[in-house]
Amino acid sequence: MSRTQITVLDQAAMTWLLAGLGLTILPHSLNLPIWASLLALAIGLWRWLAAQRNWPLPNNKIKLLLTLALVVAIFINYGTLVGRDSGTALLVMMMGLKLVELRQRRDVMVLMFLAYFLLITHFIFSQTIPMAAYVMACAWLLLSLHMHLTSKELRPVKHSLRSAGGLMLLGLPLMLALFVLFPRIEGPIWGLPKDAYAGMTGLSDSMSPGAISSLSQSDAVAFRVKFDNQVPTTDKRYWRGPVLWMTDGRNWETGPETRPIGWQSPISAARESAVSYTVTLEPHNQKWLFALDLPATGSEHGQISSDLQLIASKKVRKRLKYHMVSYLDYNTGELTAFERRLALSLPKNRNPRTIALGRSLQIKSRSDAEVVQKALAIFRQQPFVYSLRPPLLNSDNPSDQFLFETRTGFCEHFASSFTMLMRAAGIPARVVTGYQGAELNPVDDYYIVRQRDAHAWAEVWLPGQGWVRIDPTAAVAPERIERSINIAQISAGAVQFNLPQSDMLSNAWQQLSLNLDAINNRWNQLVLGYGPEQQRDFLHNLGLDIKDWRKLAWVFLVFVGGLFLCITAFVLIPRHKQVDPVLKNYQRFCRKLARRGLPRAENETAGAFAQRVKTSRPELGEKVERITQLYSHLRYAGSGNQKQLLRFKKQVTEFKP
Amino acid sequence: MELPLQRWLDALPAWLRPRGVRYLAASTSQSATLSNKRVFILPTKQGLVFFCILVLMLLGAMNYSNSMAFVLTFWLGSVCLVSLLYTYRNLVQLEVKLAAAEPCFAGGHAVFTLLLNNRHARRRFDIEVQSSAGISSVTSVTSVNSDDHCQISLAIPAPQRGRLQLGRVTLSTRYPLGLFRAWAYVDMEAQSLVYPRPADQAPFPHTGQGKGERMETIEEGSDDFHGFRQYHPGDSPRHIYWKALAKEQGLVTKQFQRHQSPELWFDWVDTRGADIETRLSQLCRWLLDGDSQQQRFGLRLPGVELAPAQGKQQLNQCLAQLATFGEPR
Repeated sequence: MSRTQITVLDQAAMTWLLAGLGLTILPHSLNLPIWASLLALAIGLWRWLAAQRNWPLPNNKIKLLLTLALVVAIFINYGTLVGRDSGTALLVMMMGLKLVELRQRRDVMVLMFLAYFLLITHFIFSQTIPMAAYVMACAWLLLSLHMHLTSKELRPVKHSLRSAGGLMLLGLPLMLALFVLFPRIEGPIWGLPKDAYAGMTGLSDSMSPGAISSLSQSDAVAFRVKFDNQVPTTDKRYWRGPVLWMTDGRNWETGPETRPIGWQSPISAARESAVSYTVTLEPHNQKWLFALDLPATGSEHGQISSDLQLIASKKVRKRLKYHMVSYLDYNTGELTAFERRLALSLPKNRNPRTIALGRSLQIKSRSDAEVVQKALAIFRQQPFVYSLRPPLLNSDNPSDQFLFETRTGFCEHFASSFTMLMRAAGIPARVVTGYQGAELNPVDDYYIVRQRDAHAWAEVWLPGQGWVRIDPTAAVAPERIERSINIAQISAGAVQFNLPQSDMLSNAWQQLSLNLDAINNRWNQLVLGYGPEQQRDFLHNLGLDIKDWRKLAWVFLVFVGGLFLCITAFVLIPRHKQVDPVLKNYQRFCRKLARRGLPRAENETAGAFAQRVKTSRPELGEKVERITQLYSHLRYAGSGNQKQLLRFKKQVTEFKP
Repeated sequence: MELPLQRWLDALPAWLRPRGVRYLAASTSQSATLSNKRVFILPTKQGLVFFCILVLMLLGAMNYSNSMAFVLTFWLGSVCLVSLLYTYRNLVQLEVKLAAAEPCFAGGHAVFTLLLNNRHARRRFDIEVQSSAGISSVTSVTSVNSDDHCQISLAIPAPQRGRLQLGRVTLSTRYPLGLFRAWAYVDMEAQSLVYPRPADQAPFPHTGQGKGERMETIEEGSDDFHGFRQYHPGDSPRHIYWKALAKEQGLVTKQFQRHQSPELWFDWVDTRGADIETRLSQLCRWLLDGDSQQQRFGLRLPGVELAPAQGKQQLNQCLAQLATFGEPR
C-alpha cells in the first residue's frame, strides 16, 4: 500500500539498528571462526561510518563477489553448507551482506526478520539460564527496534522500548499456556545436520590410554541422581557404563555381549541391598545409560544387556530422566563357555612381561582369589603413582611399559593392565568404564556426578562369587574413591583431591555453586526437560488422556482462547480517564453557568466565554474574571501550585450565579 | 437496478446492513465514529512474512525438541497476537469530521483538513489518512494525543475547474509492529471549489475601464476606515487592531478602503478564446490582478452579474462564480 520509502535511516536509528543486530549475533562469536566474527564486526562498523559520513554503498558487482567469496569461505572452513555451525555462519554472513545493501525500509524489515531467526539459533548451542535471559532481552530490543523503525513518525526509542515491553508482558501468559499445552511430538521430524550434537562430552565405547584422563579435566555435569531413601556409601558409588571385553593390547572395546537382551536382569543368583533412585542424564550422544553397580532391571528407557549394561533404544540426545533399582551386593552366577573364552582372550605376542607375571602369579597361588590379592599387593607395594599426566606409552607393549617402567598412570592404565594380568593368570576378567563418586547438593538433596568423576575399573569372575568388581586404582590412591579430583589444581600434573575445606570464603563459594547447580537442575527438569512425556504426565494429573485428542483439542482451544479473550478485554476496555483537577473544576463552573442559560460553546475560548458572560450578566463580572484568570494561569502557565489550585476550587464552589 | 437495492438496504437497521455497502459518512457538522463494525483488520505482507518465520521457528523447535526455542517462538507469536489488538485499539472509536476545505486553482492542490478526535485515555499513533480522489492517492500520517484532537490535511491534486469532492477516505493504522493493518472507510461529504487556472498575462479590457463612475477620495492623503477582518500573514503590523488582542479576541486587522480607484467591469464578452476554459482563465487573471491592485471590480457572466466591490470577499465570490460556471442550476 504505502510507497513511502526511506532511502536511508537517520543516523540515530542506524546506530540503534546496528547495536541491536550486533547484540543479536554476539553469542555466536563463541562458535564462529574468528575471521567471520571480525568480518561481521567490520561490516557493522563500516555501515555505521557510511551512515555517519554519507559514503556511497557498493554496487552490485562488488556485492555479488562478496557473497560468492563468503559462501566459498564458509564452505572451505566447514566443508559443508548445511550443518548446524555452517548454517548459522551463513545466516550471520547473510545479515552482514544485507547490511551492506541497506537502502530501503523493506531491507530494514528483512534484517529484522533475519535477526529474529538468528535469535533462535543460539538455543541450539546453549539453553542455560543466562543465555535464555540474554536472548529474551535481545528479543525485547529487536521488537522495540521493529516498532521504532516501522513508524513513520519520529518518537523517542524509549517509547518503543516501553511499548514493546508492554507487548511482551501481555504476551507472557499466552506464551506460558502455549508452552505447556501446545502438542509436543517426539523429534526430530526430519534429519538433523551431522554436527547437530557436536560438543557433547562423555565416555566413549572404547578406551585407550589417556581417554579418561582427558575427561577428568571437565567440570561438566554427567548426570544427577536423587536417591529415594537409602544412599550408598562413597565406596559403593560405582556408576556402570560400557563394559569392555576386546583388546589389542593397547585399546579396549565392547564385545558381542553388549547387545540388549531384555528388561529383566540376567542375574539369577543372590541379590541384596536394593537401592532405588532417579537419574537425570545429560545428553552424551551415546546409546548407554548409567546405573549404580549392579542394575536390577531395565528401565523404561533402556534394556539390560548380558554384561549388565543399560542400553537405550537410541542415542541419548536430550536430557533423559529414568528411575532405577540397583543391588549393591550380588552374585552374578555362572559363566557361559563363550563368555569365559572371551574374558580370557589376550592379543598374541604383546606385553610378554605382563603375561609372564600373570602366569607366575597363577602358579604361586592356590586360588583365583589369592591371585587377585597378590596382584593388588603389587600395585600397592611397588612405587606406582596416580597421575593425570602420565608419560606416553608408545611402545608396542604398553602394559609392560606401564607395569615395569613408568609405573605412573591414570585409572585406565591401572584397569587395563590389571585386567590383562588377570587374563594371563587364567582368571576371566573385563574392564568396566563409568563414573565413580557423587557430590551431594544439600540445597535440593540430590547428587551430582561430573565428567571428572569418569573412571575405569576391572571385573574378575571368581567361582562361587560371579563377577566381582576390583578397582586397582583404589589400591594405589584410595583417596580417589573417597573424594573427587580437584580440577582447579590439576595444572601441576599431580592429582589433587578436593579436601574438606574450612575457611569461610571457600565455604561460601561452595554453597553458592551448589545453589546455582540446584537452580540449574530445576531449570533442566522443569523447563528444558519439558517434552512429550512430561506433557502427558502433566495432562494426566489434570485428568486428561493424551490419546483423547478431541478432548485435548477442546481443552487447548478453550484455555488458550479464553486467555486470549481475557487479554483482549484488558487491552480493549477503555481505562478511566485521569481528569485534570483544574479542568474538572472549570467544567463544574461551566455547568453552573449553563444551568443559568449561559452554555459555553465548544469552540469558545475561556476568555471569550468570560467576556460573553460579563456582557449578559455584568453583576457576575468580577467573579467570572477571577475564576477565568486563575484557570488560564493554572492550566496553561504550567506554574500553578497546590495552594492556587485549592483557591480555584474554593472559588468555583462559592460561585453562585 | 441499484437504487431500489440501496433503498432496501437503507431500510435495514445499521447492524444488519452488509458491510461495504454503506460506509460511515462525515461532514463539517457531523462526525463519524469508527465503530467496531466498521473497522476491518488484516495482516500486512510484512505480517505474512513474519508468520512464515514463526512457522519455520516452530518447526525448528520441534525438530530439535528445544524447549527454549519453543519459548521464544511462542513468545513472539503471542506478541504478534497482542499486537493485533493494539492495532485495532489504535483505530477503533476514533472520531473524524471535516474541519475545512480550501479552494484552489486548477492544476494546484485542494487542501482538505480533517479533524481527528480521540476521546480515549490512550494516545493513538501513526494514523494514516488516505484519499484516492483525484488522480493519485494521497496519504498523511499523524498521531492523536489522549483525550485530544488534531488536524490532518490532505492536499488533493485538482487538475480541473469545478467542484472537487473529497469522497471516500481511508483511515488506517499499522501501529505497533506493522504486522497488521486496521482500516475503515469514511465517505466525506466535503467539496472544494477549483477555480480556473489563471491565464499567464492579460491587460485589462479597455471596455471595462471608465465605464463606472470614478470615486472621489473623501479625505486627501489618507484611507478610509472600512472595517475589521481576520489577520492574514503579511498584514502590516500598523494595521493590527491591538486592542482586540488585549481582549483575547485574536489578531484582527483594520481594513482601509481607497476610494480613488476606478471601477472595473470584467465581462465575459471581452474575453477572447477558443473555448470556455480559456475565457474563464482570462477572467480569473483579471480578477486576481484587479484584487492585487486594490481596485473595485464587478463580474459579468452570461446570466450572472456581480456588482463592483473591493476586497477578498468580492474576489472569492467572483472566483466561485467562475468555478461553478456552466453548472446546471
